[in-house]
Amino acid sequence: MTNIVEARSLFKSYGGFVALDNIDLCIPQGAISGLIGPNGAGKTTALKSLIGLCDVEGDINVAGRDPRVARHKLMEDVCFIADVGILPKWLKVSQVLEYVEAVHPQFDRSKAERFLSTTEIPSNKRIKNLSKGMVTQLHLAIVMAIEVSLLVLDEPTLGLDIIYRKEFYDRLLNDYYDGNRTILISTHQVEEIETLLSHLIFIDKGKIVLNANMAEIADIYAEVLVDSDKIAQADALKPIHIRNLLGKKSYTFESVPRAYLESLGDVHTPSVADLFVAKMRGQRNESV
Amino acid sequence: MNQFRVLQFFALLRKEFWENRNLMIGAPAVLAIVLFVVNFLVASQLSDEQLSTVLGYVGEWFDVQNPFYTAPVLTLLSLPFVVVYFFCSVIYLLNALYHDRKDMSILFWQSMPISNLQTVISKIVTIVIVSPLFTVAAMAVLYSLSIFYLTVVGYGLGSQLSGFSYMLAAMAVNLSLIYFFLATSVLWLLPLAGWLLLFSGFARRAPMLWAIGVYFLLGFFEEFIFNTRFLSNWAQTRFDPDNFIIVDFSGIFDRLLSYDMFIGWVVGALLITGSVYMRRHAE
Repeated sequence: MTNIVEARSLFKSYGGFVALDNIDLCIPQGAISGLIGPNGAGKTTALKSLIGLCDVEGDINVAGRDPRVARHKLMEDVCFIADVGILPKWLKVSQVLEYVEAVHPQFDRSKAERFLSTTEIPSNKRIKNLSKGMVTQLHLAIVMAIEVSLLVLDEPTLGLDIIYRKEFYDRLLNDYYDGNRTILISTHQVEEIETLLSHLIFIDKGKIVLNANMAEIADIYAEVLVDSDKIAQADALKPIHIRNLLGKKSYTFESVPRAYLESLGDVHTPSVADLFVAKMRGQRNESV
Repeated sequence: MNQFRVLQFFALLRKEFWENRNLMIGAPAVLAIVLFVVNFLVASQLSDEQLSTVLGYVGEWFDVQNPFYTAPVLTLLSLPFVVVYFFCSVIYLLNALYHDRKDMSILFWQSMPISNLQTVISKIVTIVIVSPLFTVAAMAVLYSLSIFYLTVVGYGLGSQLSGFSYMLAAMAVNLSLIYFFLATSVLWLLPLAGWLLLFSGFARRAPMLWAIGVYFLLGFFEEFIFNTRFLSNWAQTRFDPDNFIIVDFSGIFDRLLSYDMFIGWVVGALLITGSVYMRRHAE
């Protein structure tokens, strides 16, 4: 599988704060990748650097281009949604469509209007008069009507209620994703996207902590609800994380054969959320 | 340049209009309404005899003059529109690269396949070519209403109105003169436009304070270090009424082709390039 994004040794600092610490990032074409990290981990800086909105050191190739050299050319092949507030508030809905139709060669206005007709967004309203959820729906309608190879979403559902969040990802998966397009989503709300993902990237303090597809994760990571008499054996295997769960201890292991782990207790693949906590917190005990 | 690129650029100009319609059309329209109402109130205070005398004098004066000679007189009467235009232009340029950074909508604009150079050029074209059109249109409406009103009043008083047709010709000349005056004045002041755009693209807040503050700071250091006043003298020359106010076509074209205009373009182009750089590196 070819990579649509290849970035090597990305480095970015703001004053003394290192936002990206020589990271490498590869996104396979057709993947739905989640860039997941806590607040301030470097997610937004990483995404912005991939689409030429942030000065960064290192080598970057996105859809065959260096985004720092020709951002506007790259944007014919890449779409971007940041936080919900970025659509200009003074524009009317119809004006947004008119503008994008005029400036974007890959935009299909009738497609966007079909999508909007399923919502309650009035075309004559200014964006400042729409709710946050409606603004996100509008932005998604625009993006879904643009034929591009890479869609970059930076915390796209931040501040939305659960209904809009769920609808956003449902539409993205059912109406937009066709198996060929690549989607890169950053969020710190792991639970809401974990069922979508085919590829997982964890970032923390400007470093990539994990970069693997979901099949590899199932091979590499395992969570075991360890029987009380096997605790000493489990400790000896150097788990990456231990937590208390329903009166038992749950251990997360990395690169330990499943066949051996099954002798310690119930084994399953950790959820993305649990794996995220395990990788971020290391072996710090956590009570549930 | 293919057709799509041309339409793309028109879309950028249309976007500037949508965003700044209050400055571009609202301000001159309000001024036109205010001036018409003031004229109306003043006229209504005059007796029929006084009004008849004034109309007779105006009609006679325009009747005997070539419109190209009378138009400059009207140009002086257009002064409020010129002042409002420049005031609105300064506000426009200071906000041009600042406002969308402040409300974060820059992330939307930059997610479109439009280069920073195209964005900045669209703002310069707006201020040089598009915006003066609306000022002149507001003046045209004011002139038309005024002539209609004076014609009705003059007809009622039995005044000699044949000169009013010449007034129409003079106003047409005046409107085109004002348009070219505004457009070429922005080009004459391109260093100022570039300076304002530069700080519009640079300042995290209060771009006007930055633009004014840095100018005075540079002037202060120049005088302190070199004991010269080149910067302030050069700026004053640009605003010197003898250089700045031009009320006939030949003066406008002479200025367009002058060496000083060329120097201004070079300085302006450098500052505008700086504003493109600021836009490129806005985070």
